[in-house]
Amino acid sequence: MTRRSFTLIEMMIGLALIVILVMILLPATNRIMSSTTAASDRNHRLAQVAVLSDVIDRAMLTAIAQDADGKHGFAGDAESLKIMMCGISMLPRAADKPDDIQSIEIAFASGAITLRQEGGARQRLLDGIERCRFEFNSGDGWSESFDGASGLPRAVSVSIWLGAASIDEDDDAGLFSDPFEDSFAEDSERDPDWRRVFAVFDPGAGEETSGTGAM
Amino acid sequence: MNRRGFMLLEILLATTAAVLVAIAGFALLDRVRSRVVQATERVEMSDLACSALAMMEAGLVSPENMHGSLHRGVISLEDVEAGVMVRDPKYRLDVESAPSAWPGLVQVDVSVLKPEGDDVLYRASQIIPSRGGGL
Repeated sequence: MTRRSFTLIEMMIGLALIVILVMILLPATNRIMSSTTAASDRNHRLAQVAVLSDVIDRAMLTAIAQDADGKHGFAGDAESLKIMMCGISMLPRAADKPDDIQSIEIAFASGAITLRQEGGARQRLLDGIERCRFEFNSGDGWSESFDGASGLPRAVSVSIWLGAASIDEDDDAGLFSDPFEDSFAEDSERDPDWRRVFAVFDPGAGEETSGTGAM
Repeated sequence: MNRRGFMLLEILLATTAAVLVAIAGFALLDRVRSRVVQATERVEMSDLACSALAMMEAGLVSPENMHGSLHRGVISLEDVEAGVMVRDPKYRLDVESAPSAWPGLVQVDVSVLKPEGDDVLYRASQIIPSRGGGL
């Protein structure tokens, strides 16, 4: 019987090849896997944010500057927004409010964005939020508070930082990231993961808008 | 029984086959990732275009000033109004406005492109109030 097994050099070459391949592929695979997971998680969260966007978008169309009692219809600060609406709304009417005026309050607290309808309980719209910021513009720059004394703002901006899961998305640079780039990024505020500007429809201004079409 | 071990050539062939399988799996994974990223970018572009339209509708910035503006993943607020260039832009907005059939209203088309590209990745249009100043 003639039997020949591996020589030492063959074994070493084979092992070296396997080790090299694993070293090349494993970090790349991990990077792609984590990047895919982060992007997928971000998509899922953005879909939830779309619900909030829809609520605000519709509220902006029917917002009023004040009610019959002279109470301001639109007020907010960096972390909350209260809108009084009149007319058609996607939200069901409160039983004790037979007229067509109702209000909603959107607020950020304890990592969640909540929605409260007039006379109703506060319900959680979005969880796991790192930060949320409302900004208001009446034509003289963006401000983090609006008291409604001057009527309706021209536009409202909503910025949302989704939290830890979205921060990891940029970590795929791994060992090869530029340390100077990292230190620069820490100096400035991180961009929000989502921002949307809403124009406030003001019928008092005598202007009308038409529908939006997207390609 | 005549039995022998693997030859070096056989080991190399087997390794090559393993590498090909790994590359195929790798490519598949990367394709899934790029699809997910594309979906995210489409949402970004949609929000960017709608926000740009809202800012023009509110009269905060004119279509002329918004045209050619650069943005990262989300719309820049002060930067657009002040005409400041943003660092590491991801998108560029091309804005066209034209008179509409209704007096006092103009048709505005917003196209989202890559900063150096000419391909329109997303487009949204709206009829907004004319506020003078070039509109």
